[in-house]
Amino acid sequence: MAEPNHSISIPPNDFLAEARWKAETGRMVRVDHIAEKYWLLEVEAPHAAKWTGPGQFVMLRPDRWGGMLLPRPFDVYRTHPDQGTFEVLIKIKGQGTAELAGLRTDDPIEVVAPAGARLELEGCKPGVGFIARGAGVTPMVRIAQGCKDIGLPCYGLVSARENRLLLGVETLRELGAEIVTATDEAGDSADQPAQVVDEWLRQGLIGFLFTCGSRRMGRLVQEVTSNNGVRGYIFLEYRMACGTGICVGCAAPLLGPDGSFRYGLVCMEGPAFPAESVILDWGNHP
Amino acid sequence: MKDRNEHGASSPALETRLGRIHLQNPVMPASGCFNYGREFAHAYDLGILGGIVNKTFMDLTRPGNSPDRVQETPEGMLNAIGTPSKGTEQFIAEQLPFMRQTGAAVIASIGGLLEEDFQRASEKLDGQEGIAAIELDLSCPNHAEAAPFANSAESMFRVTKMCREATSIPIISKLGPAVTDIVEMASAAMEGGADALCIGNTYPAMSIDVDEQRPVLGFTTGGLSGPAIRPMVVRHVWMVVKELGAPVIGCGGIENTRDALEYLLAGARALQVGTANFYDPMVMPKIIDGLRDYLTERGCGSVEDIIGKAHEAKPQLYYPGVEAH
Repeated sequence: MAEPNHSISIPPNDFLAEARWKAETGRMVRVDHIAEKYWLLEVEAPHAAKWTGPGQFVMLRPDRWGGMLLPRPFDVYRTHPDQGTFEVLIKIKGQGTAELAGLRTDDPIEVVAPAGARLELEGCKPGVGFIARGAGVTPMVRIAQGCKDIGLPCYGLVSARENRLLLGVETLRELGAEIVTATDEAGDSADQPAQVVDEWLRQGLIGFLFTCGSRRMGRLVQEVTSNNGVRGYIFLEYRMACGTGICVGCAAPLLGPDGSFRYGLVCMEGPAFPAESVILDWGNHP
Repeated sequence: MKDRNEHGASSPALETRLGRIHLQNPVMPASGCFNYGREFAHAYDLGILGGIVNKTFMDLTRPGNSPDRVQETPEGMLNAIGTPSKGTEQFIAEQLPFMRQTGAAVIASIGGLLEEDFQRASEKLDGQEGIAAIELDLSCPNHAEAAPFANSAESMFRVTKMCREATSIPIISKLGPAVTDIVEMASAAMEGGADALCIGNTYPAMSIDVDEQRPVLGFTTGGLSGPAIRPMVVRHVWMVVKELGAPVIGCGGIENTRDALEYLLAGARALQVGTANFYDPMVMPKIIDGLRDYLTERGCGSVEDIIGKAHEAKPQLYYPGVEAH
């Protein structure tokens, strides 16, 4: 059982200086098309590869950027500190992501990382669970990698519209995570998350539950974690300019323990926020 | 400190003065584009900066605007952050000591919904050690409760005068761009007792999401910054320096040394770098080095040698080779 007030989220201002963000010119190693609008990028950038931990993200900006200025934030997918590389899984949404997917091997790319709060998985006994949909699986891969590093069991449910759009499943299994899948086309994506989470809880497998990529899953995590002694974290996404905390743009509406309203920056407190603090019904955000 | 170039000559002096305000070099962050500096303290020595300018606070507590707060636009960005604030006491207790120990000149940026908010903040800051100047953010376009004071010459004059009388700390009035006559606004602030002017702020602007058929920003409208606005701000600096000779800090779309030089040549005595910090975190150290290199290459002993230099150029009134009628 997790202690109710134990936070596993460490904000950047509390890191050692060497673990904080650094601006480095990286090199594209690999740009692979996965399926539909999804691409996997591998980037060589030793500082980012070494320090971007579970829960954290990277800011990417190609040298030639088609009249755009701002870098784009991506949850880190997997890191390879020994090779000095990291991977991100991106979904093409607009001009920025399209230009990133159009990069070639050896193209230079500006990297600022690590960004965001780091999740300390050491505190996540007896194991962690996650439910994720679509590209929401991205941060779960880094979490599974972190679990493997410290020998912590990791259980996941990956959901998608169609079977061919189930992302990261092989990688997660390679990292030792126990994965079940659900799809709209199989007709089990609506009910299965709740059933799977119930089963993890019944067997006492997890102390922490993470989610990303679906408002419905966010609600489920809020419900489950409010009365089962497990702690929940929801990954949030809001438009951001810098990723380093200075633009104060990526404000997420949050509830304090006393129910009072406040904003918290995704790049400093998040992107993973305690489930009980998250307001899911804000405007048109996922 | 021995600071010599490859020829053994002394490195050019970057010191600059704006009235009573003395800076070791002209480069500092624009308010709201560096928070309080903590997020960058590990990346480089903030003491190399000419000044450090905080994210504007008000003498009141407010949460800031609803998301989305930022949006990229061609060669620029929109923001409507809305000045989240925890009040003057919190600034003095928690932020000022950090800013002071950086070694850079501290410029305290204050805002307000009412004219009295500026006065109260100035009174509370008066007597605080180590504040080189107070910058009055009179021109933020993102407060639902108030139109920017910088839109009216009477308000510019009145608020600047109120603050001038509330403190002996030097005052910088920050002008807004959406005015008919920038020289009139600058003149009003100087008559109100400003030591220097900051030109300028973001341009009021907006963007609409055509898929959702609604404004992109949570606040509906916002302010445009970045390289997109630079030529318009350079013109404002040029006009104010030409007409009034006032000490001006140039602020708008600076992303490299050449942009910084444009402002200096237009007559700005100092520079603020804003949006570029978001996409090039090392931009300010690079500009400081770049200015030194430029001055060395040109054989200038001091940045003073180039401030306002473009005003000496002869206006080109005819096309060479074409007979005037």
